[in-house]
Amino acid sequence: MATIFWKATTLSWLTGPIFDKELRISSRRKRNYFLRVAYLLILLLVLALIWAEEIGLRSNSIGYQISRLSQVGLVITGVVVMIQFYLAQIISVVMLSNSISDEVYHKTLGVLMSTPISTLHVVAGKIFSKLLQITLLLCLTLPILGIVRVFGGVPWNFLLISFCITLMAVIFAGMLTLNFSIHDKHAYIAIIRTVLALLLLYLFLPLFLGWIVIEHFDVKENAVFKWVMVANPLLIMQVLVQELFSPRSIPFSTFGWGWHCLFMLTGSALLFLRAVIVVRKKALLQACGQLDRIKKKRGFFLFTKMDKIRRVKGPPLLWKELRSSTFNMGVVKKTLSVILIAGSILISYYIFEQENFLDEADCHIMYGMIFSISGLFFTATFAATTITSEKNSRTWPILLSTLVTDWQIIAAKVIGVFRRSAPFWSILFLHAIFFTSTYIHPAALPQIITIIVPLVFFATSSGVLFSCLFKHTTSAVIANLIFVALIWGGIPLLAVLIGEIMHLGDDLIEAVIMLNPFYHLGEILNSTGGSSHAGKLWSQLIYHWKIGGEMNFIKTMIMLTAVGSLHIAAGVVFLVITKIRLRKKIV
Amino acid sequence: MIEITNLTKCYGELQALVNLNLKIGQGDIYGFIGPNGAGKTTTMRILATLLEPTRGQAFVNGKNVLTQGKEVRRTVGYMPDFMGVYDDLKVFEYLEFFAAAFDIPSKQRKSIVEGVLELTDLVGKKNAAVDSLSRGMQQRLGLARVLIHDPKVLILDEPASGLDPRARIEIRELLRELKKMGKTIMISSHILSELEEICDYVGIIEHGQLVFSGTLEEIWKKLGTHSKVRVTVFHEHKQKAIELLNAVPEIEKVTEQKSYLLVNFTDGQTAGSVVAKTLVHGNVDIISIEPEKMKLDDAFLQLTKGMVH
Repeated sequence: MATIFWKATTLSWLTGPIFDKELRISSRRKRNYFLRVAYLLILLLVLALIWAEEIGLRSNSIGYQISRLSQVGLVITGVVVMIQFYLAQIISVVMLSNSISDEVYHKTLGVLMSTPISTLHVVAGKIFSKLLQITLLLCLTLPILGIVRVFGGVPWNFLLISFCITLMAVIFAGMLTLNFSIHDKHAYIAIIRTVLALLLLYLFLPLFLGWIVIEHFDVKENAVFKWVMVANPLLIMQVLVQELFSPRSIPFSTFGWGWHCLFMLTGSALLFLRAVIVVRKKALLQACGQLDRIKKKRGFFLFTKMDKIRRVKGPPLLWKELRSSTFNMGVVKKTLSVILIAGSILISYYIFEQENFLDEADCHIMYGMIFSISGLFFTATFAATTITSEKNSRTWPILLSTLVTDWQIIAAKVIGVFRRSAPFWSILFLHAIFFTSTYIHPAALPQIITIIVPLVFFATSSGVLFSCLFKHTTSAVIANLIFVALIWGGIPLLAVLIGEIMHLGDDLIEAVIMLNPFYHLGEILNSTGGSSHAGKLWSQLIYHWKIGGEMNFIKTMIMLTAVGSLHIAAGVVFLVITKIRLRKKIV
Repeated sequence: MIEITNLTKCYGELQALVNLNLKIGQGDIYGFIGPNGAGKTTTMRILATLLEPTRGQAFVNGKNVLTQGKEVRRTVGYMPDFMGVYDDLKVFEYLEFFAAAFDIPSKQRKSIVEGVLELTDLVGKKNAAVDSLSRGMQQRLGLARVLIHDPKVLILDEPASGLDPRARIEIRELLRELKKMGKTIMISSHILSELEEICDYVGIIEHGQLVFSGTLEEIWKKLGTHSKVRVTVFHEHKQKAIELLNAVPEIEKVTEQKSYLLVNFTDGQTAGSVVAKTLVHGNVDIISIEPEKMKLDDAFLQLTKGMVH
């Protein structure tokens, strides 16, 4: 009786021994402790920044500081909640990206099937152990938010609702990743597929469906908005935080957050069920030795019947990097994916065209940021997998025992990343080309190229370096993503703080921002985007920069080239370090 | 062809190799045996220029592995204890990729690849995806890859592990062929009976130190197996035979085994004729007299237990 009670309360009937195993392993992994420390440091930095911005670190009167406390409380809560909302989802996606594929690849799934452990336990053990880690991260912020609440101005139910919404979004993203990780052994493919699916679900689909309903059915915008909120965590969180800062016209309880949580939980449960069924099929196939046979049949069909032997031309590693498939998908799936992505973007163009939003520079800045951040995400991810994937497939020592030089390996890997991420960056360039002369001035194209090429080289070089330093793909991907986020997101924020502490005014932050390619992209699109700028003469183009003030096209190009050269130089340094470390810790 | 002097490799506090000294001549097959974690793979990786030694030197074909890495790699074909495969390549492409990686001119690659495919009996699989091959086929492909640049020295780490008996015999035959071609082969294996059949020399390593290195004959000599004779007589004559043999001054002791008598000689020399003469004079009917043969497995067990020192 006691055992049954104990099992029921500890949920061991659901999670099983895999959960225990995962917890044991994770407690031994240094990267989990590093993640927690990094997470806390990021939050502390944000807190310091907000304090500096709202109250100032210089000696203000006590009375002034006390009068600002409730405002500080609001800002800290809002910002921390938003940061942890996005960060926790990213961590969830990365953590679960190889959860099932590792078991399939190491052939332990079939072994598990010969034990009393059910597939429900396998899937539940995997997902719940990772979710526990992430929940722990979320809980780290609770004491901070609790203290901030003492400042006043933050209703208690805001913390509860935001925590629930974040948790539901994390669970959904995790379930989605877990499903993708069943089908491909490469973690980065699961990550990319999840990110694309989430972009589609959270951005393009609500936009498209909402617009259809509003335009073609007699439904009010507010009603559509409320329905979209139920299915969209990004939107509901945005509205929730906005509501925190504005006078409370709508109480939190009327947001339908309960329905939203129920909706997300149902979606997650369905994904969970699907994962259990598919994993069971895979596990049974592996236990019977049929999984390899299916792969062989597939291989036979794909290669023997359809593909000819391709002869090696030029440097061998470069040849391999240029011919290998990124997603390992069939032609039909690949075509469908391209149609889906292109279709979503074209539909959004159509909707914004109807709403005259394309006339405005802000619209192109929005697209520019979405496409460039996505592109950077994919580049940073691909780059971080280049050498770790060789280590994981155990081809690394074999490759290093050949006559291929270290620089040839590094160059081939860098070019391979360029090739793989080119389709994602081409969306940004196609956007600029597609709207040239109608909504974007032709000058934007060479300037975007001048910004993006060094950016891609920098992120690729750092990724290759991390890939060389780390053994596991997941660690290398997390490290590179954190690194690029820190360089172009964290350092500007740190500059604000240092500027405030050292009484530097805006000089430091302006200097740092002038090195930031995303700031450049924003200003370029601000000065060349929209119908009012598109038709201007080249000589009429004026760019407004933080340092240097107004500049014409030529001066701007010189400035962009100079900043780009700095990024390229830093990238070269990363590659030199990679060369030095390439033959250390081979296996 | 291979010369190792005072080779030491430390991983932090762990000493994987301690002052290892080794010489392998041209055209020899050298069996490298030792328990798990003894330092076999570390030695092989150093010779393949994949690891830097902490101290000491290693030369392959007169080239220093530390300072002349590229020249060494040109001479050496290294097959690790696991088969790394690129998923998206076919057998022919995989081999041509490595042919190109070893700077073989593009005009010669096709014939060379077809040559090694034939040698390793993989011609029928040249169009198959590498990751769809069975374990045995992948091991053969690994050997084909090692041979692609016609290296003088082959370093093979457990080439027969996980293979079925037929595949193991095939690999053994292939190694014999390679020896005939004049290749120097350093091979490690856990299946010692296989090494016994193909190796000219054997090295036994334990805790990073070479316990023994020499020919199989030298091992038997060191373990004293030459001074033992197995005598089989009819059961009813067993006691009489023991009494007779114990009285012979050259014989140290006679041990009764289940179906035979094991005779140890004092002077370290096999003297089957003394045994035969004594038993015939004593009217004992002999079934057989044969020198005691020790298996490499037993030698390995004795040597790695530190019984010889």
